[in-house]
Amino acid sequence: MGKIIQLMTYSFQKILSRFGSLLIVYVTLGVLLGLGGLLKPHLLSLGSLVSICRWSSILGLAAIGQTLVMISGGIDISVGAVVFLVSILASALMKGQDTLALPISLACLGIGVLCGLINGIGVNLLKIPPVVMTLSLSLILNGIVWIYTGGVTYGGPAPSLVKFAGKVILGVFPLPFVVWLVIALFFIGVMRLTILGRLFHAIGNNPVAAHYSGVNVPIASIVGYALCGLFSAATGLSLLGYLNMATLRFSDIYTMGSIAAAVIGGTSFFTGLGTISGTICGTIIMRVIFNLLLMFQIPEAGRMVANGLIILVVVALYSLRRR
Amino acid sequence: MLSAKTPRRRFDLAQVGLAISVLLTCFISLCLIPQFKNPENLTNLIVRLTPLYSVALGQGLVMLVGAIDLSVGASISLVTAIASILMSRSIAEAIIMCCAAIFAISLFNGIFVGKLNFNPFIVTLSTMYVIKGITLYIRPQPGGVIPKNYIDLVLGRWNNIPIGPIFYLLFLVAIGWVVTYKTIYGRKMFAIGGEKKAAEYMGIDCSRYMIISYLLSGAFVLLTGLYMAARIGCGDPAVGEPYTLDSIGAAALGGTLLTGGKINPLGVLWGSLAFTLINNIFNLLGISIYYQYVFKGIIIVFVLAIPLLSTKMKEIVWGK
Repeated sequence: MGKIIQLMTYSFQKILSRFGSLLIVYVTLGVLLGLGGLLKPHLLSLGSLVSICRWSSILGLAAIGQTLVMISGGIDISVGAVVFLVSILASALMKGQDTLALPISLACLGIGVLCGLINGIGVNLLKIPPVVMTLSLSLILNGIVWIYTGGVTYGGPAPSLVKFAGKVILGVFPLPFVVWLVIALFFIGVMRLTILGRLFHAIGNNPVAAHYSGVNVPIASIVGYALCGLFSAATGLSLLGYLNMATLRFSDIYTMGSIAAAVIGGTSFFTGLGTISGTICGTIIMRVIFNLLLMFQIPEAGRMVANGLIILVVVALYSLRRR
Repeated sequence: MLSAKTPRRRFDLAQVGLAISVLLTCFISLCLIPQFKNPENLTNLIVRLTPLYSVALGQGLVMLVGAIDLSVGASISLVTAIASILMSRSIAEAIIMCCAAIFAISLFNGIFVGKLNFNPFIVTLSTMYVIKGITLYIRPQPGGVIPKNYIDLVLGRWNNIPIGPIFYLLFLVAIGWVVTYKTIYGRKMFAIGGEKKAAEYMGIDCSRYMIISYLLSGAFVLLTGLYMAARIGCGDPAVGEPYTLDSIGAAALGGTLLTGGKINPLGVLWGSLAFTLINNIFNLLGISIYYQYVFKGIIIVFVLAIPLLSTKMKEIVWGK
């Protein structure tokens, strides 16, 4: 009997050390849902859960990109600005026509990649600190958007995009959520099984060591930023499709939300550590907290404070665990 | 034992270049833009230069120890918001409340960055969002009242010359000079920014001095906020936002390194003047403020790339 208990504690410790932070994240999500359900039973209703899935998939795309950049040792503050730019540009160019949906969407994804490339080049070749470089780009992009629109949004998304974003399969799973999970699974595979994934972890952990082991650090890092731009643009498109219009006021939320989701999911700054699966859970946690705050009727200002505090607390907790 | 004596400074070509280009810009706009030399416009230049220099100097002192403060803009907005709510009751009370708020924020930043060794970008980015949220909570839209006598005191004019801002500017220049070059505190900050490990082995209490530099930056931010409250005459949750990047840009343009260990208070003044001139000229030419965003973003990126570009240029000119 004693031996069995010993074996069980041993295997528990082993699981904890193997999946340590990931397990904590998923347990946190469970506890959060349980507590939230106790306080506001409406949180666990089908409609609310579907809404959580849908919104998680919108933020989640950008969060995957942010995670890739953070694992490779950078950070991208321009996520929100790219989301903003793409959704407004797509709305203005599609003008609600189905024929334009595909080419414009692809063009917008291209613009996202371009923004990511600019960030990557600035950070790696011009040696500008990532925060300042991406903050400057977001200033530039916001300026461009305001010049372009003059404060008014034009056109509208193509009906097929709206249909795609609003579609529900099997009665419960929103299509964007499924797509998000598939993309996330693909990138979990990329991070675990391919050289590219290894490179991201290596340059994030120690760029100098990676350089001396023959890694082309700038190229790998630029690829990370470009992917982040691509995913931010995808978030912009999916947001546009779901809201069925472009709005001029969600720049900050997506930057902070994507960083928070990655950090909650166990991605840490400048250590090369982090997992996409953690980020998926982190994104859902963010959305659950957001919905809870909505249900308690906390205004937008309060949600902003909550975002900042969550990041600080989580970073503090993870650093305690490391010690 | 550290001495507070000024070290020999090498002749800095970049600073001279900056000064010449700023003066050249002034000269060209004097010739081409008729409104530029209006007394009203020159007053406006000084009134706008003062707050930017104040923030940029504080930012520079934080950058000197190798950290950064992204929460300065949000803090300025917070100060104007608090002032606009409390000043109608009692000016002293409002100023004390602003002091308390900024002291708490910068102490928090300083302890997390200096003492607990958190990444300064992350800490100050998070505090920026917290402060922004709090500001939006207490003042969702621009509004509130700043008493007339307070405005007159801060922006005091004599024969249309803005005495208040000019005095504040001179005070800042003096403070910046004395703190960085004439005090042991300044010497130690240079040492910490240059090489933190070495400074620690020399027996400098790094965390203490990093906290102090955040507190100093907070003091400048507080003064800027109180000044801005008088200038715009109300509380505005977005008024400080441009100052975050502008202060980093102005400090970097003035020769402050983002990696720490280098600052030149007079250079920062030139850098701030350059940014103020950009704003002013764009406004005089009637170009939309959003072009300024784009232009300033590009300039900041360019300026921060200068250290690398200049070494590359040297390599090309003189060989490796």
